[in-house]
Amino acid sequence: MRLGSHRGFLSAAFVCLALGLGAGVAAQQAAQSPQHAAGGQAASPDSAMAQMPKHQQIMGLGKLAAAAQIAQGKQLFETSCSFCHGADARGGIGPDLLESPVVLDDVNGNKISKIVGKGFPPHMPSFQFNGKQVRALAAFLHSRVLEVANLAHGQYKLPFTVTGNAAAGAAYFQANCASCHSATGDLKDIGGKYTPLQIQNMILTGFNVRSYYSRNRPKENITVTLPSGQTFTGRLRYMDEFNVVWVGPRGTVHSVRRGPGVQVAVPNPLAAHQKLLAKYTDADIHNLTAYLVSLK
Amino acid sequence: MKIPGLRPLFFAAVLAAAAVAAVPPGNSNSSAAAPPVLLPPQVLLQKAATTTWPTYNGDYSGRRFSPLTQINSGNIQRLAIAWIHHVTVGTMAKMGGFAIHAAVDSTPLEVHGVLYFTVPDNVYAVDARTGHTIWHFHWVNHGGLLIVGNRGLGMYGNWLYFMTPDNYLVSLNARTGKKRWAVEVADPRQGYFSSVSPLVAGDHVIVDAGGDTLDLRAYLDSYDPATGALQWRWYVTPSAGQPGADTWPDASARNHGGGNPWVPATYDPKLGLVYVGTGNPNPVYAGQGRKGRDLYTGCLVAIHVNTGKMAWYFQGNGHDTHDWDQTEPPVLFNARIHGHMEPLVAQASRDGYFFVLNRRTGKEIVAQPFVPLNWSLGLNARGEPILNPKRNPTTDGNLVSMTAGGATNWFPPSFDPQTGLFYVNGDQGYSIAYLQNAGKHASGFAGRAITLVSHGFLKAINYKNGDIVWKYFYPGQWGEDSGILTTAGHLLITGDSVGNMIAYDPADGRILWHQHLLSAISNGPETYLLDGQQYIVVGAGPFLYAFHLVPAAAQGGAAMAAGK
Repeated sequence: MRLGSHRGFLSAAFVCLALGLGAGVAAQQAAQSPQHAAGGQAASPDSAMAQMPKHQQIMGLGKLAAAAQIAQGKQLFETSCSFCHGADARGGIGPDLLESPVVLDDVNGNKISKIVGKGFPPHMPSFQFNGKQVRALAAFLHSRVLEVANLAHGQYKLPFTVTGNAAAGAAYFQANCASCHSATGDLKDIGGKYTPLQIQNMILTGFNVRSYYSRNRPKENITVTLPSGQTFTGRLRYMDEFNVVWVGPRGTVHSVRRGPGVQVAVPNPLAAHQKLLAKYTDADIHNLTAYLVSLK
Repeated sequence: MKIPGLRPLFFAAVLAAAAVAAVPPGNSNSSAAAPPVLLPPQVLLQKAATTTWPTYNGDYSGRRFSPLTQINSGNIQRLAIAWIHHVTVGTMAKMGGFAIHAAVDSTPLEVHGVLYFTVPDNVYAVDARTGHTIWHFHWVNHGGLLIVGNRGLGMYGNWLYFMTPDNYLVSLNARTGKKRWAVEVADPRQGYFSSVSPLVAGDHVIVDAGGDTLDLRAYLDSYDPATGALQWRWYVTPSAGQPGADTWPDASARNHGGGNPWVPATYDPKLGLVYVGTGNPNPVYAGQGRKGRDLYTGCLVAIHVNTGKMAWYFQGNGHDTHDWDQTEPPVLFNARIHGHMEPLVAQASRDGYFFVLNRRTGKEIVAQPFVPLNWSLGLNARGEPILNPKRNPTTDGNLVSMTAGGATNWFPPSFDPQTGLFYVNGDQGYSIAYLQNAGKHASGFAGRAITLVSHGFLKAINYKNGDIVWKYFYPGQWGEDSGILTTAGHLLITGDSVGNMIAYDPADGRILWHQHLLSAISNGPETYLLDGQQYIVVGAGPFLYAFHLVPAAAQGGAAMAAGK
């Protein structure tokens, strides 16, 4: 599936997160957004959900419960249910509860309580939980449904592990990357600054996604040549196929209509990285990641 | 075709006369008091839209080609904005700190000088001459996902049909905007959410509920246009013992296998077949629990309109693991293949292949990539691409030569019978796909792909062999979400991702005209003739723009007044 046309970076990022698709570079950015890096002060998915009017909540599961209630339900689930239904409620010898119509139709424990109280002989014993406990269990399961449904803003973590060979990665680096980068220069301690997944994505895109999509990112310095031969340099402000706008050295805004004889040179610092995409094997990528992760 | 100076009062009569069959007694004219039926069903059978645009695609074929020539390549420099309608719903939802704004993804119906269109939860009737609101209907949504947009309405007689995000099929009185009935197509609590525009085909209103965030069973439904009673239901994944069931490992995988269609279908009234693309299988990125070709997900299927039985299928993407579904519009036309005329259906699929099939039999005629791709090992005996298992997502990342979102998407392509070319907007590039759950019990998306580099394009494809006749790369890396319209006036109308509406010469891709809008085009452009004047209407974010020709003198005057 895919969304409609909600333009601009913010909405694109949201969509990538919510649906796990689209031009996913932005997903990476938001997953590592400054709010989260700053220690979960703002915009946790829980608080954002709680602020939404009821009719705008996803799947009609109602308001996401308080964190304390979810935690209580989680504890209850782990001690009494996870043995059969799996630690993540996705099923074990018992069924997957996150796709269960009983769980999805439940409101405040009204459906779950019937199964829990009576059991499902001979497969499932009954459990004597009080109303508060069943409500907590429902709150926990619904929070898990939203997580799995990927509607909880892409918060699930990728179980990324380093599988490559660092020595092979070092050799690849020497042959393909060392003309621009240095393990003791710009990439010094990169393994200590970023997670392995961030490093792998930076190798592939050539940029740190977080800063690349920042509003404060400096734009490229461009050179514009007019049909008369006159040239201008300045910082790019806007360009499409019809117009180019830039800010000159003294802060003057220039605008030129593109056409025959008007040349615009925009440097692409990512060109070398983009060229490699056609050449990499998956092993090359994983080896390079292993090598850069080892630079601590 | 040009019809000068029609008065609205005579409009219905002209339409009815132009229609193939006579208007049934009692529908109009019989009583002086009863107003004429707004959209006699016969009008839906028109070969191409001219004075009315009565369906999502203008006609049943999905070609989005208009025979109108008043606006043409010779006078397009005189095209100017006639009016702008601003949808003031604004922010529809706030999720995770991001605001979701209302955008016009629907293609408005144009009937008797009134445009009917939607944004999620909202239906509007506006005056096609001025853009003024005639009525507005708001639906209180209980949990349907809004961000997938809404494609618009279907119409039958005096009644409108649309899908709500929480999966109700709602019928409204087209004159007043008053609700007649609403029937639940699917339960949002199970994870379904809806965006499709209903297809009105004969005495059937055909809809589906989308949703691939949880692992659901998908279906296509037909409802009675008068009562809303369910007529038939076709399940995308087969039941036990049915053909195709053996392409799944077990009943659980099959019953949670997804494949929701979610883009409006096309229809061949002569063959009585509805053409619809099915969605990607679930869990989306994790294929290990659903080994096999996962029929009938990732397929183009033909469904008998009266019974809901499948006539044939063609699986453009068997066992997908990248969310590259096959729901993109199936476009119907008759054309010469190997020297004789054949009924064809063409589709530019999100998996990067362009397909042309015989639409009576489903037999493959052309299967050619229209972007560079490395996920396929070639074609099987049926002409269907074979997935390279080495290109499945992995926990440590797998590089594919496609963008995460795929080669194209729901936005309507166009087929121009004058050039014989099929036009599609899309993206090409690279992405890396990560598996989030490699275990037996993966659910939902179970993975994530990241686009590494992307180039948006407009490509013109020869239907006979899949060759790219011309291509145009847009500036900027974000994908193109604009639909395409072609006209007999030698025009191709679409937009880029930064807000330019552009007219091309469909023969060679030369740019003839452009206009910067306040937002990028977000729907399929349309055109119609009203009071002898041809309009072109596009949705652009929260705006609906109408364009018409102005006299050269008036345009010059305006430019002088603006000091140019």
